Amino acid sequence: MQKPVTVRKKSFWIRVRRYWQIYLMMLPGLVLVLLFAYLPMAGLTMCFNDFNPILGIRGFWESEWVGFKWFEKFIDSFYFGRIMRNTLLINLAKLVCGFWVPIVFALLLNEERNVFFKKTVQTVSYMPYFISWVVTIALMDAIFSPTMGLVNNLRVAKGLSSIYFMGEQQYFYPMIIGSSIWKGFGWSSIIYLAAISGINTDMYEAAVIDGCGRLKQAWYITLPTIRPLIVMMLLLNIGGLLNSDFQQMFCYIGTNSSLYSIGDVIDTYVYRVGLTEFQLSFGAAVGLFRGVIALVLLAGSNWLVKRAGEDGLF
Amino acid sequence: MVIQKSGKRVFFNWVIRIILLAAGLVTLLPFLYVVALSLLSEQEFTSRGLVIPSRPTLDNYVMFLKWGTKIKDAYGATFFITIAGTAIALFATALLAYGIARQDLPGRKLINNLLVFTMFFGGGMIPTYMVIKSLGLLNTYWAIILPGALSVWNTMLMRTFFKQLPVELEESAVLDGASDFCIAFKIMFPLSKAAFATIGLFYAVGYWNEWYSALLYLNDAKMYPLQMALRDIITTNAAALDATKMASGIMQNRMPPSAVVKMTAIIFSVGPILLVYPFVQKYFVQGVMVGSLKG
Repeated sequence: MQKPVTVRKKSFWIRVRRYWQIYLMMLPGLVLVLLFAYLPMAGLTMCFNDFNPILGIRGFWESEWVGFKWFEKFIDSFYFGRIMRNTLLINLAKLVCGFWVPIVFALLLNEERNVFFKKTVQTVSYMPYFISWVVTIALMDAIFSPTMGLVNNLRVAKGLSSIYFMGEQQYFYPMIIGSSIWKGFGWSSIIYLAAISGINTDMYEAAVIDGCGRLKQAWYITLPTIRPLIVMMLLLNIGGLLNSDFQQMFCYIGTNSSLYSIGDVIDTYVYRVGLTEFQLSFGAAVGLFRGVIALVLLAGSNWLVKRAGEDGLF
Repeated sequence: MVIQKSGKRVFFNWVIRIILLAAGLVTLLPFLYVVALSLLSEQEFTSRGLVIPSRPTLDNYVMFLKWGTKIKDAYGATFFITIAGTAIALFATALLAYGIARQDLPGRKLINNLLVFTMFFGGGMIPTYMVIKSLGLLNTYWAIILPGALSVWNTMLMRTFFKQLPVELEESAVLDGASDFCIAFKIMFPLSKAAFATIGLFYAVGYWNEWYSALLYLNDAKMYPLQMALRDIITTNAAALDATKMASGIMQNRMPPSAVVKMTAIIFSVGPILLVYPFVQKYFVQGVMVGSLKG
């Protein structure tokens, strides 16, 4: 009983030395995090200066300071309203149309008693998660293209005219939201399914005795039980309201300039001004603007949820 | 009463089954359609409306492979990125995860918080680009491999795996005088083969699908990995072609000649993933399950 006490009394540095092998093992990973996560964060200083790329990494600190010039430029610019609106609308639409889909899918899967059928549907539904956006958009093109697409083939066979679904503004939202759901609903359902399968079956048995049908069981037992998980996923989604999916938008819009006005979002804008027009500081500032608002959104909704008596994320 | 109830139940079961079947079909349909198109001969394709090839042919595949060195180089690049990347990522991730899984490690909380913070905030596209440029990684495959080699999410998954191993193993090894290296490499890691498989697969799929870093950090089109090369073939061209065809009104009766080859290109890029997918998907699911236990 004496020994643990003396161990605890040892100074911090002696304890650190005892673990040198572990620190050494962690070193490669930590170096990667510092280089590719924290060094860019330190580089956010470039949002407040006129970054001089010739100075290289020293330019983060040694360029001429300009204060909030880039933020003001962004807020005053013609693009500000447009890309903020697009980003928020697209993400809100995705949230409203897509958030519940994996939950319902998980509930339905949970009701299916034929194990083979259930497993097959599950396996198939996870598949799109593992293909890139490049391929996903290409698959959409195969289905919706006016020249070879399945949908237009059927339309033409019925005597209707072809529609360029992926090129016209009026189909933009359904296409973007649909492809997001298609790609993610199966995969997102796993976590709900795991939570549902952990529910104590006694509750269902009691409910059956009380005369509850399966809809009522789902509504009064399953959903309330997994509510903390639903709230957590919702929080994460709200935190990501400004994280438009760059890969999706970039692949979908491609060079189709007729979609810019409704499909241009913060991330594609940052890419365009920062890396194709080389307004480096300006691009970085727009990126930081997004990052900070996302953080505020997450913290804000977390606070609200906690006030409502639920478990927050942190 | 009883009969009525069971009748209702049977009906309910079928409604559920039909919805699930529809969900499965909607997911599968694009893949099936692309496969069907890729097996069409050029002539058959031009007589539109045909979905199921009457005489399947592998001509498109042969044609696609004859496209010269571009595709071969792209495959080479992707294989290198995937194999080297997964090896490096697994190494760094497992060792870091093992460290933060050790309850007794001084500074464990701090390191953990440093990692978690990066999940909610980052430097963003431009500062990251400047860092990679300053490190001299532009136009090398390391610019694709290294920034992706430490996913915090995967590290947390791995940590959870390690934490599930009995602590007694560690304790008895310490009593036997084993070093920390020895405990990690000879005891803990061999017991975590499933974890290594899961996380390794996550990384491998990520690297295989990687094109975003290639877009940002590679200027030389000759270096493009598979997804970027295919993006050139299947997305940009398709959209541009369709637009011009629509405008000139000729698309009603004449198809772009490369359309079926494009379908073949899609198959070449997803084929390897879809081929191994059914056999490894249980590992992926396991990964998410472990992750959800943590919360």
